Amino acid sequence: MPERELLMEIASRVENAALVGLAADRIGRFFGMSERTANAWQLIVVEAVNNVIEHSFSYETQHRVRVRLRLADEHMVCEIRDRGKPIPKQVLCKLKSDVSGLPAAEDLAESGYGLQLIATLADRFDYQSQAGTNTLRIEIRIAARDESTR
Amino acid sequence: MLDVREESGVVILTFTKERLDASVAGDFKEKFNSQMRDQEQKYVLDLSRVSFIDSTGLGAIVACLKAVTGNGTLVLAGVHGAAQDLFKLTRLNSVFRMFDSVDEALA
Repeated sequence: MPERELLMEIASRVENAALVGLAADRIGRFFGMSERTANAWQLIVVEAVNNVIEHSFSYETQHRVRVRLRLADEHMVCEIRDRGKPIPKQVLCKLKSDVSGLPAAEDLAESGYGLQLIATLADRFDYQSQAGTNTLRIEIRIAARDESTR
Repeated sequence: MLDVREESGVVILTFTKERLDASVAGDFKEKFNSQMRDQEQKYVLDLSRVSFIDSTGLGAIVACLKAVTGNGTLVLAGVHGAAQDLFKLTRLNSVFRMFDSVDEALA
C-alpha cells in the first residue's frame, strides 16, 4: 500500500459526495494546494461521486462506492470504484479537455455540466470498466494553476 | 434553507446553508418556486453564505432564472470564492446580473 493514501467507502447517496469532497479539499490543502486549486479539486471529486451515483446506480442508495485519495509526486489522485452500470461510452466520447465542452451560457442549460467540469478542471481523467468494476480516475496538480483558465 | 423577506418591494431570498449541491438542489428549487408571485416581481437570491456549489446546484439556480423570466427579474447577490469561480468557468456570470451584496442589488 502506498504510504500516503486514504481509502473511504460510502453508500451511494448524493449527501455523501460532500463528505468525500471535503476530505479531498482538506487533504489537498494539507499537501500544499492553494485555496483556489483545493476548491477546484473538491468540485471535481464531488462531481465524480455524483456521476457514479447517477450513472452507475440511477440514484439507488443501497450500493457502495469506494474512493481512494492519494498523493503521487506533484499530484493528487482520486480513484472512484463501483460495481454498477458503466457510464455510457457516448457520454464519455463527447467530453473535451477545455471549457468548449461546457453548455453555452446563453442556452441556460440546467444539466450537462458535471462530467465536463471534471474533464475541464482535471489534469488527467480516465474511466475504465472491467470485470464488472468501474474505475473513474482523476488527477490534479498540487501546484497553483494558471489563473487565466478560471 | 431559504429565508424570505421583502424590502422596498423586492423579494429577497437568502440561501442559509453553506453548500448548494445535489443533496439540496431539488428542495431549493421547490422552495424558490413556492415564493414566486403572480405579478411581475424583482427577486434577489442572496448566496453570500454559500461556500460551495456543484453542477446540480448551479442547474437549480439556472432553473430559478428561467422560472422568473417573463414575469420579473432575478439577480444574484454575494456570490464569492469557489461559487464565483464556477459561474466564471461556465460563463453563466454573463447571463446573470450579479451584485456583491444585497444592499448593492437593492440600490
